[in-house]
Amino acid sequence: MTQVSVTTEVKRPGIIHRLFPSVVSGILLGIVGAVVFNVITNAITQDNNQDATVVFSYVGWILFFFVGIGAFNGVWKWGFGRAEATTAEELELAGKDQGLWRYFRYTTDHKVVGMQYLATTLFLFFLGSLGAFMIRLEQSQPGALFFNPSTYNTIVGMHGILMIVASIIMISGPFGNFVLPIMIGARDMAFPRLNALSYWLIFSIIPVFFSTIFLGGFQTGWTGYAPLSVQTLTPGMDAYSITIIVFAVSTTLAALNIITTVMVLRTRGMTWGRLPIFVWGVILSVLLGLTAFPTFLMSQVMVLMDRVFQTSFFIAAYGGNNWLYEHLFWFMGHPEVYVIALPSMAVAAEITSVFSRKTVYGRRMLLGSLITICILSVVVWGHHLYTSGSATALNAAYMLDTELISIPTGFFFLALIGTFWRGKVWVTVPVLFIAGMLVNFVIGGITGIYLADLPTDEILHGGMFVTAHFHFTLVGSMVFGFFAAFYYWFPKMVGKRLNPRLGTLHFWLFMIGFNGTFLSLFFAGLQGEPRWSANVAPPFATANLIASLFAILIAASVFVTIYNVIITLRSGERADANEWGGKTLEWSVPTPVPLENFEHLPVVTSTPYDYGTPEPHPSDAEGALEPAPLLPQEES
Amino acid sequence: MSTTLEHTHEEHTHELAPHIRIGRARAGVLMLILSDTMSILAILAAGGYLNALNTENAFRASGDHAAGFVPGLLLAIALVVSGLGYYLWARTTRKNGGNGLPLFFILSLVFMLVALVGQTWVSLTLNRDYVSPYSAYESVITLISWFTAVHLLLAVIIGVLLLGRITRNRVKVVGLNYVPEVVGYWWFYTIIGSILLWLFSLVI
Ligand SMILES: [Cu+2]
Repeated sequence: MTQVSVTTEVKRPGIIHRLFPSVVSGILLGIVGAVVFNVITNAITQDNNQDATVVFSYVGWILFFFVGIGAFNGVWKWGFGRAEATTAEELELAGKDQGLWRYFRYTTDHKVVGMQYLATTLFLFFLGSLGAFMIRLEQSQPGALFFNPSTYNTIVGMHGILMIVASIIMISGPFGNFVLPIMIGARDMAFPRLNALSYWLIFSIIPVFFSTIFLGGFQTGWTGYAPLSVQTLTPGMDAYSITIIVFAVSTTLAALNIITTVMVLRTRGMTWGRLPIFVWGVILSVLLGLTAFPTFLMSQVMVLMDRVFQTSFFIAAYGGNNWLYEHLFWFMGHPEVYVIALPSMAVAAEITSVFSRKTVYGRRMLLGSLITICILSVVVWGHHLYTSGSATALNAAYMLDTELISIPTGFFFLALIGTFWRGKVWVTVPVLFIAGMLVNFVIGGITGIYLADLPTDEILHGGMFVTAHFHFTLVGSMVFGFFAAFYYWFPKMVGKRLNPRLGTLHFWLFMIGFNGTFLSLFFAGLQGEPRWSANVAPPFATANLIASLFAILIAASVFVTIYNVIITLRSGERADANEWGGKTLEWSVPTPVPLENFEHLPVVTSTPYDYGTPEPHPSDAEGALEPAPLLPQEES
Repeated sequence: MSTTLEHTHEEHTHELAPHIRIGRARAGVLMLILSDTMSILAILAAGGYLNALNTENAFRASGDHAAGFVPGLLLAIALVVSGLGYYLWARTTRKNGGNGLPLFFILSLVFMLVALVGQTWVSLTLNRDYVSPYSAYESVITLISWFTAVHLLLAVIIGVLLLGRITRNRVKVVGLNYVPEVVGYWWFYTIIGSILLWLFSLVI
């Protein structure tokens, strides 16, 4: 494929402008960069340092990929251009009149970036779920079935980190980019180029990450614990570390961009008090990411230094310590759970309000609890080290503050149930997913208390109970929230209506399959089954078989969703501009959303939850609702 | 529908207001600084923690040493001079409507470059003295040393870009006069962060 583009480039000069800069030229130049760096590194390191070669080849790939895709053009012009970019140039960069090709370029339009994130998220979820099915297949019966233990560990690790990465970006990426700027009445993000950069950084590490399969895999699981990560001889571990470093940079850029956007680009009247709860959820999440991810980045820098330059951050014989890794990792690792959770919880509140035709119950209380969760989550990471012996004296403190989190989390349930309460609920696919989320979150949350509790954690840690617990919170709760958002905003983003019957089927297959799988694994955990063991021991065979059988339903739900998206893209009904009768600003603009979103910037006069008396009816969605509280604003 | 919208407003109305551009630039750089501060704190915490644990009594082997004090001091002085130069340039620029004295800026950039070259030399010398596998102490010092070098490199790159703007007379472009101030945040942050890391390497 790449060869074809080379020849067309030569034969038809007109197309050069389209291909350079684009993802095609990025990949071509990136490969050249990798080869060049590879040769240079091999020449410099006499003793055939395989890790150095892999690391610097990837540095070459990433650097030159971004040269090729044109990421440095704007930087160069900022310094050495004759003048600032004109509005016409900015619009060209935003993908004006470039059709579908704009999705394959360094396009700055926030809606394009949002769609890129959405496609990438779904792609990563699909691959991650393939890993999950391989795991369930291997664990369906005792003994080795398909994979050797090392391959199995790599599959578990890849499944884990893929799903974590995908769920970190699943809401802030697609909806934080596409919907959030419109929601606050902005024409684009604060830093459109950085926005494109944050997406393409993720794109650039996808091949790096998957190359770990060909580089011997990584046996550490998704946490990449040292010293195993340092002792692992295969260079697959280097690919893992590079992936994490670049991902941390990407999330940092995305975070500062989103926060700045909300700080400076809110339209007139969009006070902090009137900000939709979804926007709050996203900015709290990315703020948390902004402070938590640098330590993860540094931990991987240290791992790479230990591997490539023979330093000893994590090697006890020379004064290093594995606890250092565990602290650096979990200082990111626990907040990261809330980086995933906060926007999902906020989405749930947002959507519940729309479909109950009622204002969010206890909106300030909910906001306060999201902020409290955000703050508490930074000081609880030690609960992941209870049994490590690292800070035994602090265990009680960690137990207390961890369990405190259940209080604001309880307020979240209160807010959602209060919003549903006595509303005439319009039961749509998003609402089904929120109902599922509430059920699963109760199970995930309550089992979490047993893990936060020292005495019970002594027994349960390192076992299947933990696995089942965090799948209930991350998948059963937060990914369900993502799918609610997906079905809710898909009509706005794509302009077509997903088939609600298939959506309902998706929900029930997922809900039943998920609960069957992970309730069985709770049982296996209580029986004492350890995590991360390639072969199921005979006492746990039944629970694991049941889990694997229920996983077939989850697999079916995945394919139902893919089928639904494909038929909708090909021949779905056109969606209304205000598909659900929502009052947030994204529903006030036409579908497809114009390049700069608003003809006139709106003036906001109230919160977006004024539904008056709760007399909702599905026919409200036909446009019978009064328009959102907007007045045209004079352009300044 | 969308096209009429784009045509009527294309050229003028969608420019961001000056105060929004300033706020945007300030917020962006400050958040970058916040994030980078977290990575510096991670290094300080890692060094302090390993030192306190002193695993296997092997944190610092006999003969382990940081970079020489005098080269470090000279680099710190170079950085302070660079900061001073930048401050004077930004001040004159602000007072004279965008026409600062470029000499101050060139002075600042040159000293930043000197610091970069010096820091790289220090890092390379360290790695020649240390014998692999490095002790945890040597690991921390190596990390601090190269981390600082990378930051100085970043500052030099930004400085060269800014020099490009100055020579093309683009610092006083209307609506962009906040550039010296906001780049200054990062410039001073780099200097303070580097000196802080150097001091830490002396006491650890
Ligand atoms: Cu945790």
